[in-house]
Amino acid sequence: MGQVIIETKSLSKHYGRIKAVDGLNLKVCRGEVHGILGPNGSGKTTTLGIVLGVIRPLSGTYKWFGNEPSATDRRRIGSTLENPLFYPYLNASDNLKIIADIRDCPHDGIDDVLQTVGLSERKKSRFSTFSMGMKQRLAIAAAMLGDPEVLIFDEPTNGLDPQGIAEIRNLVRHIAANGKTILMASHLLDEVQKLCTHVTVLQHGRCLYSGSVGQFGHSEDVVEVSTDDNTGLKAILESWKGCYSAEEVQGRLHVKLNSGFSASSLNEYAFSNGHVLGHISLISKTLEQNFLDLLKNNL
Amino acid sequence: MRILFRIEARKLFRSPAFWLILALYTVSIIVILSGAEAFMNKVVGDARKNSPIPIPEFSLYAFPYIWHNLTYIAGLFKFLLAFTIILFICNEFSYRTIRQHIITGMSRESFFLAKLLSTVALSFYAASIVFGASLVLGFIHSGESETINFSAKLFFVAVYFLEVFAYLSFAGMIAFLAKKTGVAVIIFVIYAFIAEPTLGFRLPEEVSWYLPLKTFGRMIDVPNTSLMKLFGVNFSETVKWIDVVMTLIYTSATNLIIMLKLKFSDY
Repeated sequence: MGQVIIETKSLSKHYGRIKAVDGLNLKVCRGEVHGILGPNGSGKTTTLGIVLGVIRPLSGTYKWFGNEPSATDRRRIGSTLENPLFYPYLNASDNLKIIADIRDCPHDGIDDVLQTVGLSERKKSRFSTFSMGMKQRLAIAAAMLGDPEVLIFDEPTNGLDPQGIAEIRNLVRHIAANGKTILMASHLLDEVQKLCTHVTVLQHGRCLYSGSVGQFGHSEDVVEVSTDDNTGLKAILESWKGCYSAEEVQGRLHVKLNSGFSASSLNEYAFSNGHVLGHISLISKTLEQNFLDLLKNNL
Repeated sequence: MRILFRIEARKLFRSPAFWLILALYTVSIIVILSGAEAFMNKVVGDARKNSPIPIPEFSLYAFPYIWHNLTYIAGLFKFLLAFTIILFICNEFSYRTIRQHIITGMSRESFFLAKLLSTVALSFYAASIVFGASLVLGFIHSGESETINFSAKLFFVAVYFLEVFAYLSFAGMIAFLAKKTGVAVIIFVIYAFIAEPTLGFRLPEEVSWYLPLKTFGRMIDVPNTSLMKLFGVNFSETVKWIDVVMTLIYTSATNLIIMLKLKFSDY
């Protein structure tokens, strides 16, 4: 595990009776592409707002790079928060000059970042003339200005057409490939699955899962089996080291496997213990199914 | 500090709305100041025809009284600048660029400082216009004997600067509290043109004396004209320290409120 980039300790923010963020612990290490996944209203943007200094938490603390929060440390982080926010009457280049001045970095990088997001041609156009996709790309350009170590993207593909979504995702991959740490909020599972190495699942401002995307997807592989004597098979499987859990569902057994074990090793084990399986099939739960289950179980 | 100034300048100087209001203000101030004497003599001239006693001609542009006369007249039009300040502060909320500033790495204190700088700069501009106009008009209209002590009442320009700065800080406070341009403008107009003048009449003198905008305006009081002397009315020919001190207290308070509001809000 690399250096800790951001760590929050029991962060809370309430709006009246609504607990937008409720005792959240979050930890992101260097080099991760960390997704914050959750349905609308689960506290993603509030969490990012708090760690970016625009929302004051009710309680709890957070540290960037191990330091107490400060404006100077925020300059090491490039971020987009909800919608792209710029002066509509200024052109792309002038808007980025303001960002560069705030971050105290030279203006030379502006052409480069505009190039990266494909807005070079429109750098002299007013922000108000931009399409949603172009606004979103300008926000990403602004985040990348000054080559910050950490990037935060809040719903980066919101409101974009399929081509725009693909472009933004490629951009995020490109940035991640350069070794940057990325924190990305999304309500799209597919997006997190495609882009992230780690994921924190939020609901009602609480963390339901935090860890690698791989584990989140795989631990839930279920093998469905049946035999003449399901009860006996269940007893035998439960003492097997490859079995995480086994339960009977509509006359069949649903067996969750520990990592490193497969349907065929289960078959082999059952056979060597005197059970011939009449039925065996793999119900690979998608991340989506997993996610929905996780939310359902925590309602 | 220099960078904050550069950031604010970029926002303002590239804005068509800013140039429009500034041009409107500058042109009207120059027209009003240079036409004031002729206008008043025309009004008084009409009255003179029916007057049993001789009414003297107005001479607004004689040094050193011109500094008092013109800063007083210019003070009546500072509300145009207040609209500029309200517009540009509320823009930061309606475009939500204040949020972008903070997440990009500007501290709330720096944001406050940037707005303070804009207010100071605008007040300085207003004072420069009056200074320039008075200087030119004064030299055109003054004889040699008057020109000799042209700088005697120059301090009125400095006080005018403070008056505008205090007034704009007050407008800025309303903008920071209201956040929405329309709401802020309405509150400001109602307060400055209806509520405070009404209170000024209704409240007992010893209370209404403390009203903030009244205090700012009282620093440069109505100039004594020959007409007033004729009627035996005598206004202050100088600036009272107590008014300056009161204005400074109010201005510190408004800016403190802005600072605290900024520090303890979510964006």
